[in-house]
Amino acid sequence: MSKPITTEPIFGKMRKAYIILSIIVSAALLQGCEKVITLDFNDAEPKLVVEAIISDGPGPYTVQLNESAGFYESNVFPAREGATVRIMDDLGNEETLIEVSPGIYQTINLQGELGRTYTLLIESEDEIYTATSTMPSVVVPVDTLVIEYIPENLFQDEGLYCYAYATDPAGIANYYRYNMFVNGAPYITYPENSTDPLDGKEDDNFYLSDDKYFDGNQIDIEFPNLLLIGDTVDIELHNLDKGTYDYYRTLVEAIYGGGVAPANPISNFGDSALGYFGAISIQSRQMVVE
Amino acid sequence: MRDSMSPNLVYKQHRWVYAFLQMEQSNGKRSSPIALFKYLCSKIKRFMLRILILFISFFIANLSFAQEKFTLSGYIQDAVDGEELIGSTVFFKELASGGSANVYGFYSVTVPSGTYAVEFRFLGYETLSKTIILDKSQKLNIELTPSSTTLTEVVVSSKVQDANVRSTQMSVNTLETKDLNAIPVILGEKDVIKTIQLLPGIKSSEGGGGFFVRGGSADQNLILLDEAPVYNASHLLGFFSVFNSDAIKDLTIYKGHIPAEYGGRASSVLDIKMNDGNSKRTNVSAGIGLISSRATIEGPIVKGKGSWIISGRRTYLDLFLKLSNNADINKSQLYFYDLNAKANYRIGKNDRIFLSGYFGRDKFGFSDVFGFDWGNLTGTARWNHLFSDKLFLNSTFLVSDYNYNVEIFGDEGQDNGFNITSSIRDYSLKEDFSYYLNPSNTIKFGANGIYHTFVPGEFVPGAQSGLNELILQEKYAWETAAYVSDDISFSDKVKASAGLRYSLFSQIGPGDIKTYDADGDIASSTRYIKGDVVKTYGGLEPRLGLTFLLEKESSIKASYGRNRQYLHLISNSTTGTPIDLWIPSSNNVKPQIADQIALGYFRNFKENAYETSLEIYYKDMKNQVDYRTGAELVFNEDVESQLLFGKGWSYGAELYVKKNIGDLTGWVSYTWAKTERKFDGVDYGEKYAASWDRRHDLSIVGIYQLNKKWTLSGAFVYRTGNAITYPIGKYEVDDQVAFRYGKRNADRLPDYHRLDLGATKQIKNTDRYESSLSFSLYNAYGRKNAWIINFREDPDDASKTQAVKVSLFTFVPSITYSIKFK
Repeated sequence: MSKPITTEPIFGKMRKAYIILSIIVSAALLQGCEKVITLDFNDAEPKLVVEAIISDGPGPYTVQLNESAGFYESNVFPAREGATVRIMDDLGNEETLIEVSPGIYQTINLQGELGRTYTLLIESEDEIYTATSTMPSVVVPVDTLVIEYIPENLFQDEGLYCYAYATDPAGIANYYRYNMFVNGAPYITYPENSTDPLDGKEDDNFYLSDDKYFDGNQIDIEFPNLLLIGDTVDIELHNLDKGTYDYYRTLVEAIYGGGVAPANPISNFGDSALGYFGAISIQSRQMVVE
Repeated sequence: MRDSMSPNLVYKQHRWVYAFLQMEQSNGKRSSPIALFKYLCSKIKRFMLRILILFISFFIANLSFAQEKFTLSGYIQDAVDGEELIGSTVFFKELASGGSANVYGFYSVTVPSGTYAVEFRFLGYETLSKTIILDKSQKLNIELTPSSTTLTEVVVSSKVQDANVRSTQMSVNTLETKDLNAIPVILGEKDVIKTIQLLPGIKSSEGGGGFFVRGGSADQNLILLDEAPVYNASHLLGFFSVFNSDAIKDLTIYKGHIPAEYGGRASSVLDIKMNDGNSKRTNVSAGIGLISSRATIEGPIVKGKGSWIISGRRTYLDLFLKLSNNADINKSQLYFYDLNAKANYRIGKNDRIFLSGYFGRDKFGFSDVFGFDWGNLTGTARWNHLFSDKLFLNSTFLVSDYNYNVEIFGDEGQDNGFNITSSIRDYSLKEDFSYYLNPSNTIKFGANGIYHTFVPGEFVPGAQSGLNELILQEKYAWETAAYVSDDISFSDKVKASAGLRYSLFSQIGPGDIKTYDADGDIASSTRYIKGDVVKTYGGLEPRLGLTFLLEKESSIKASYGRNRQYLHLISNSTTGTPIDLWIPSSNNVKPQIADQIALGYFRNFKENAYETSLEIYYKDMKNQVDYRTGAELVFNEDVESQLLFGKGWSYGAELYVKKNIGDLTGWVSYTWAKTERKFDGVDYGEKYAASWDRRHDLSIVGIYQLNKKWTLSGAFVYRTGNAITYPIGKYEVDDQVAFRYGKRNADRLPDYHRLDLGATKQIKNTDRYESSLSFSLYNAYGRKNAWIINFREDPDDASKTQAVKVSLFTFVPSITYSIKFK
């Protein structure tokens, strides 16, 4: 089997090439240097942050409500308690979620279905927030997982890597997010010469792609995480609608620095709340590295 | 019969001068400068119409006074190397008037018959006086000898000593290679784009290839190299420009009141002319610097008939990569090169042809993993023809191409890589006439047509890659224009330059032309076949400049100009990248229109040793382009759906003081400016600062001739921060901390300042060769200016976030050795 090179969007690769070019140029002649500075930010009033997913997998589904914080505050985000949270579908079914712990609201009976359009309605502190998302009607399963040995090269250390294969449905636009879990948790990368959990960096699992370059073809998904014999690998393939894909795409920009005109991600709450409500279909496959 | 104006016309014209000055005074009290500008705008428009009527009557008056007059015409050249002396002047002492040489060194002056003492002048050259008995029209080719002192090497010269005061042109700056050579720059790479940023009204950011003129965006500058547009003027991420200063004769930047022969961009014209080559003898010169070397060879074709020049440079950063032990790194490429070539030849008395070309490329290859290269190609063929000693025609055919190519090689023998290409190509034909009616009246007219081909992107994968071929639709357009302009002196005190340009642009088939709804989704698609006109735009572009000489060394000038722009640059970076995309105006994208009005006071001191000017301007910009939040700009068939349209405006004041003569020369420029935009799709239609907006810019440039051997130089810049969007907080989703943003460009980067120092030592200057050594120190006191500001998790405390300033370029020394064989 040939080495797949196509999992990330093509221009991601170009961007990577460009970043490497910048690094070389900087190192060679610019003596670029970094310094932590203190800026006077115009911190805004806290805003509601919604994190809500409904899928075709079994419930319960969780809606998490938090508030935003100021830039120089700790990463402690207050839970938004006491909200009324409901999910409705396009057939008129409706369920009110129960707050199981502060800011965490869960469904009891609701089962997500392919092709349905769902609306999330939140009433909190005299404001009403709504968002709508449609679960794609096509299921795209993970066909196979392959573990392959890769010798040392420019981009990778030598070792075992996981490749997932799926078949993109032809003729329609598909949008994907892939998640990798190793031994039941996101993969953790340690800096060189350290295994201290505090130094570890959790994989954000933002592997996103549309099918612009491979509509109707077999998809080769290459995960950059080095695996060990005995690891259990879970690969999830999320099939998203365009709105959800655009949200994730712009969320990545907001997390990693926003480009020319940084802005909040494109959300189905509009500007009323931060975060997103996504209806997605999830397929997964598991294997043990041998 | 020098002053051919009727008494009536003189009276009217003085009344208008009076009225204009009154208007200025009466509005001095107005509190808001914008209100004043708007008021002036409306007045000037009306004023301009009246002037046009005056022009016509004046023109007729001129014709009716056709007495016995003869024409003195010819070329003015450098006696040493035969280079044309653009802008050199011919002065008839008895008449106290004359003319100047055009860009081909041609002059033509028509005066009544008589015996005249005629002076040929050019700054830095010995003035040549001749007594001429003009009893018939005659041709006189002149050679001027450079002044003997070495001072000319460092003189920051202007063409004619008081041209800044007397000419009808305002909002213009000219630099010659001499100027460029003296000013310290990073790594000793003399760079026109970096040097013009020291002039008033021109802004850019460190490390960026683009520049911003009077509040216009980076794509609103027309950059011409021997008349051919250059679509991407940057090398290596914008740290260097594509213009090799060894191949450049001079450059002029028009920031307002753009002459009518130029068009196609909304804010400025940067007109760069290549050296013609030495027509007297063969010369070789070379320079060796830290990161690049360059060489030039030039010489006559048939002595006195023509000349040629070839100039090249190449960086050798990648040679250091070869030293690496890592097989991947030492197989990598990272360099750029430029090649300029030009030849000209005189055929008979009345015809001359010029051929010039530029080819440059950046190459970046990483082992056998990928290759990435980009570059420009321009070619210009020109034919000068004299129909008579008064009528000059230049015909130009030109081609310009910019393209990039990305290659991912895939695995050896597997055919699983892919290739991406994109380009823009122009073919253009131009006819430009100059008619030298008399010393106080020169008429220019002409027409041009450009055929644009846009290849937005072609993605071609290998058969085994599992990817599909994807070819974005090519786009085609015709851009044509015709113009007439008249430079006229109404009296010793009042001059005007009035121009009118009409431009027309058509987007043409073949192609599937789409429309989009408010959300950017496709609303309709219509198929057009080859040659079908999809959409046509066009309109008038009036340009007017007025000069009122107050006393010997001072003047007031006013100008108004409208510019239409039919091409737009789509870029997801403020600094420009090789993959930026030019798109034509279309059914979805309207042409950008800029109206600018400017007022200036010009004054020279001490016999033109000091030039000073103060200009204020207001510019109104329509159909400006910005991007939707999260716009997908790269390789998108529907990139037009990602755009937002709105308006912009800018205003400011520019102060410029320049010292031309003496051991110490240089200038101080200060700009106060404000640029804002308003788009329905951004912040609910509230106005916001453009990302290149900043309030204050100060540049101080000094060049000091210590003795015959040493020249010292320094440049200091101080700028307040550009507009930027900082986070207004943070939140957590997907187990990640994301930054929360508010209004666009509501914050400011920290202030920027920097001092660069340079020194040049002349080592040898003999009859056979001359050599010199140049040293420079960029950012001499090591200021850590903010290049970008990143926001990230605190590496020492994961519960905190921090802002990190990234700086470039502290203390960059360089040394360059130059040699010229005579």
